[in-house]
Amino acid sequence: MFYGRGDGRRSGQGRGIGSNRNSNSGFGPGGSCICPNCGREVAHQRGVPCYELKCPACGSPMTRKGLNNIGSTGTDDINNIPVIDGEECIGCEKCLEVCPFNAIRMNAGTAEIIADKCRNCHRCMSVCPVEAIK
Amino acid sequence: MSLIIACATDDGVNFINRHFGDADYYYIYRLDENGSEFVKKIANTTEEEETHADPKKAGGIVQILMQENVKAGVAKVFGPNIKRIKKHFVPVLVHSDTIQEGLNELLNSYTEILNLWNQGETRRHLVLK
Repeated sequence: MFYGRGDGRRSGQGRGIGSNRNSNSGFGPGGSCICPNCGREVAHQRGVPCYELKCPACGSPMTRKGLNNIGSTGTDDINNIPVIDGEECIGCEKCLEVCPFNAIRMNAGTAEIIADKCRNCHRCMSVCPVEAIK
Repeated sequence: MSLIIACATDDGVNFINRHFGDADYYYIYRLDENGSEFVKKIANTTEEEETHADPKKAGGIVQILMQENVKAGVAKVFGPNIKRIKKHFVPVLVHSDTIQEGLNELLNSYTEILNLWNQGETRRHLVLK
């Protein structure tokens, strides 16, 4: 079918993945894509590999949230999760902002990692302005 | 040698529990090995951050404090802009709630702060916790 001008649709409305689609069609079950660079999340789009999407905030390729394939060398080894040096932490909360797994909390002005939530993605390490996470 | 320091505060008595750059005022003190002396109060006239760790915000804070020849900025919390401001003065994190207690902490670490100042742009921050 040809949807051209004069078919009753306003300009810009097509058959794509816009708001005209029925709810739950086009998106996978749950899940979302996450930017490994800045932590921005968008709903996962069925049929479109996450890595083909560009982050709307910073332009980096997205990845599927919940999987430990976020472009780092991290593993699920709980004995090897990052450690925050409380003597160096400045309490800026930048690590909280970027952690996709909500695995960091503040305690008396210092960040601390919740071991059973941490997926060892190391994103916190890369954003810490004082290199307090190792 | 004395050090000019800037304490991040809203009321002149307590340190704020927000980032250094979010303070309403900076209370300026002159610190030497023997004690501290209040110099003046200056308002933080920088605009709100457009984004977290906004470079413009850091630049504004530095500009204000450099006019006072500040060598150390003191607060309970710093933001990610610490990596920018540490090139211009020593960021010092204190544990104390009040400025007076914080000044005592600073006096105990006077030599360490002076050494960090002398390291120039590559200096690190100091945590007095």
